[in-house]
Amino acid sequence: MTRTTDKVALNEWQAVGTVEEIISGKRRNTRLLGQDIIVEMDGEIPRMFENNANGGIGTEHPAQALYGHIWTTLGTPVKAPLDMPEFKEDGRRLVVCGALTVRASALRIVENFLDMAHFPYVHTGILGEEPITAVNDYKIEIREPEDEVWATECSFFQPQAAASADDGQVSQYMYRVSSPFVTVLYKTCPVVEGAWDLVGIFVQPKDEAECDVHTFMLVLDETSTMSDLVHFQQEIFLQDRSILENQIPPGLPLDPMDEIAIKADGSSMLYRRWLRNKGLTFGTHRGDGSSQAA
Amino acid sequence: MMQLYDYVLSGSCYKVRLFLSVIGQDYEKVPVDYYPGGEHKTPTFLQINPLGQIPVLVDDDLILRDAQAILVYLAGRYDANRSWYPEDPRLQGEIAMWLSFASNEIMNSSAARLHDMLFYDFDIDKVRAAAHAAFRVLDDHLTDREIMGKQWIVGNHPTIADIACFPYVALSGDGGISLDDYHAVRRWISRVKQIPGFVVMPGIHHN
Amino acid sequence: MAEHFPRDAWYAVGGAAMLAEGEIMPVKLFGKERVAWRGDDGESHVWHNRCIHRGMRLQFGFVDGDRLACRYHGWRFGGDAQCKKIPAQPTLAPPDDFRIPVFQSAEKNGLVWTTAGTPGANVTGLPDSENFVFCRSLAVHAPPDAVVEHFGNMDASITTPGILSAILNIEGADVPVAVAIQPVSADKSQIHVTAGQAGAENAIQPLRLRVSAWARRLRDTIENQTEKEDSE
Ligand SMILES: N[C@@H](CCC(=O)N[C@@H](CS)C(=O)NCC(=O)O)C(=O)O
Ligand code: FES
Ligand SMILES: [Fe+2]
Repeated sequence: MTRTTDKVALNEWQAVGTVEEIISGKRRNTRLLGQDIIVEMDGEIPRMFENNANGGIGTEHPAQALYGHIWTTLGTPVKAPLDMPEFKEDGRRLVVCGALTVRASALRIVENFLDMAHFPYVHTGILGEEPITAVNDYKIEIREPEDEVWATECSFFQPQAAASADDGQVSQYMYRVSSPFVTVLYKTCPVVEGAWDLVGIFVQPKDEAECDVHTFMLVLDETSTMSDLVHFQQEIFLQDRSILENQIPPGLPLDPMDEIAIKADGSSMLYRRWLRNKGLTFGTHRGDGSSQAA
Repeated sequence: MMQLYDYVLSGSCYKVRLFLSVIGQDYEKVPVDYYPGGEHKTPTFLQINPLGQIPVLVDDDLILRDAQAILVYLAGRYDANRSWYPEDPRLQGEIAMWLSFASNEIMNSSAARLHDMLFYDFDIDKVRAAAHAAFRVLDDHLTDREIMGKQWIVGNHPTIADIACFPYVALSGDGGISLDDYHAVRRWISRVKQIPGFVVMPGIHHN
Repeated sequence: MAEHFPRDAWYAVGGAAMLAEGEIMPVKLFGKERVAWRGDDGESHVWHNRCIHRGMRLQFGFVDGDRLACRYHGWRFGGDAQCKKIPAQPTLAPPDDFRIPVFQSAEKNGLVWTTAGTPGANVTGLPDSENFVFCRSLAVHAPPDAVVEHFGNMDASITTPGILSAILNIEGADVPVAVAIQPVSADKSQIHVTAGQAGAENAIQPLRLRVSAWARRLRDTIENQTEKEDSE
C-alpha cells in the first residue's frame, strides 16, 4: 500500500527501531504508515529517509533517540513523544525486548494491552487463571493537558505475575495511552515493596493491518537475567499475537454498535472514543469498503 | 541434571520440552537469547553446537543437537516402557521417516513463522506453499489412518514421530498458514493435546 | 457459480462423525466464515465465526460442556447461541441480544449440512437409492464449477444442487459414489465423498480406503486441469 493520507496518524512520533540494533551499523529498511523508509545512525544522530520505489533515497524526516529507540515522524507532530521520568530513576533496568511483527491493526494491539479480562484465557497460569476471572472496578479518565488515556486502581489476581515471581499475587496496575500507538503500564513490582515496574509497547504501524511492536520494560529487578526478562515478555506477547491475528475485522471498529462492550471494557471504550474524537482513521474499521472488512 | 539449551519461542525446543514433560523427566533450562540477542551464533555457543542452532541437550558428557536426535535418545534412555520409540524395526523405520519429515518438509512452516514474526529473509510465498504441500501429505496420511481406526502417525499409540511433527504444524498460523483445509490434522492436534503431561507454548493453547 | 450453486440450497460441510463431541470445525461457504461445533449433549451447531465481544474467531475457542467458549475472554455461549456467562463480570446476566448469529444446519446421511440462504426446512441429502457411507472430505483448489464440469465428463448426474452421483470403476470394481460439493469460495471447493455400502461391515474399511485414494487422484487431476487452464 502507499503512504496514508490520515493526518492524525502522520503527525505522531513513532518508534521505528532500537538504537542498539541500528548503531551497530545495520540500517533498518522498514515501513511506516504505508511509506517505505530507511532508518540509520549518522554517528550519534539518528536519521530517517523515505525509501523510493525505484530504490533511491528520498525526503529526510525528523528523527530522535529516546528510551533506547529511534523515533521519527512523517508529519508535523503537535505533541512530543511520551514523557517517562522513570527512565532516569536510579536502579531501573531498561530491557529492550526486540521487535516482533503482528498482522493486526496497531489499535487492536494497543487495546489488547489495556485489557485485563483476557489474562485467564490467553495468559493462562501466568497472568490469570480460572476461576478468578472477575475484573474489579477501576477508574478511567482523559488527562489534560497531556491528552492521555489513563486507567487507574486496576487489580488482578495472577499466578505468576513476573519473571521473578514464585507465587500468585494480586497485582495492581495503572495503564496509560500517550498516543494512539504508544502505551505503558505500571505494575506492582514483585521485588521492591510499594514500587512499580513499567512495561510498554511502541507500536510501529507499517500498514493498516501490519505492525512491528517494540516492547520494553523498565524494572527494579536486579536478580533475573536479561534472557529471563526478555523471554518472559516475549512469551506473553506471542500469546497475544495468536489472538490479535484472528480478530475480525482486522481494523478497530470505533462505532460503539459494532462490537459489544461491558463495564470491564471501560478502558477500551474510552480509548475508542478518544480515537474517534481525534478523527483517526488509519487502522480503524470503517465499514464502507475502504478498510479491511472480513 | 540434564540441561536443555532453550528458547521459549522456538518450536524445535518445544519438541524437547513437550517430550520431557510427557515422560516426566526433570531437567534444567539454559535460556538462550535467540532473539534479539542472536546468542546462538556467538563463539561461546558455537562451541556447544557448531551449527549455531537450538535445541541442544547436555546429559553428563553427552552433547546432542537436533530435536529429532534428542527425542530418539530420550525415548531410548528414559522411557521405561519403550512405547515412544518401540524396539520393533518396522516401527523404527516408519518413525525415522516421519522424524525426517519433521525436520525437513514441516520446517517450511517454521521458516514462514520466522519470516512473519522475526524478520527472517525467506521467500514467503514459496515456503508457505511448501508447508501446505507437507500438510497435505500429513493430512492424507492421517485421514487414512483414521479410516483404519488409528489415532497416531505410526503404530497404535503416540510415538516421538507425533511429538516431532506436532509443534510446527500447530504453530503454522504464526506464519500465516491456515489449517482450515486439513481436517484430519486438526483432529490429530486435539488428540496430541490430550496426551497426559501435555504442555503448551505461546501460539498453542490447551483444547 | 449461481447456476450450479444457489445460495438457498443446503450444502454438506463435513462428515458428522468427524465432528465429535467437544470438537470445533472452521467452515467456509461462498467466502463467508462459519464455525461448526458439537457440545457434549451431542448437538451440532453452525454459527458466524466471530465473537460479538471483540471479534475473535470462534474456531479457536473451546467447548465447555454444551457451551462454546471464546478464546479471548472466555465468554460462554449456549447451544441457542445466547451468551450465558461473562467471566470478567460474573454477576452480570448477559442480556438477550448478546448472541452469535446462527445459520440453519442439520445432519443427514452422515454429513453436516448448512446454507448461505433460506432453504426448505428439510435437507434433501444424498439420493436415497443407496446406503451411502461417508469416506472423507478434501479441499480442492479449483472453482466449484470446475469440479462440476469435471464430473460432467465422467457421466455423473446432478439431482440436487452440489450433489453428484455416479457409478465409478475403482480398482476394477463398480462403486456407486455420491459427492457433495461445498462452494468454499470463487476459487476453492471442498468435496465430501460417500460411497454405496458394499454389504458386510468389515468391507467398509477397505471400501473407504479405496475411495479415499480415488478421491486424492481426482483432486490432483482437477487441480492440474485448473492450473493448466489458468496458465493458458
Ligand atoms: N535440525 C534442527 C533445527 C532446529 C532449528 O531450526 N532451530 C532454530 C531455532 S527454532 C535455530 O536454532 N535456528 C538458527 C539457525 O538455523 O541458524 C532441529 O530440529 O533441532
Ligand atoms: S472476543 Fe470473544 S470473549 Fe472477548
Ligand atoms: Fe495479553
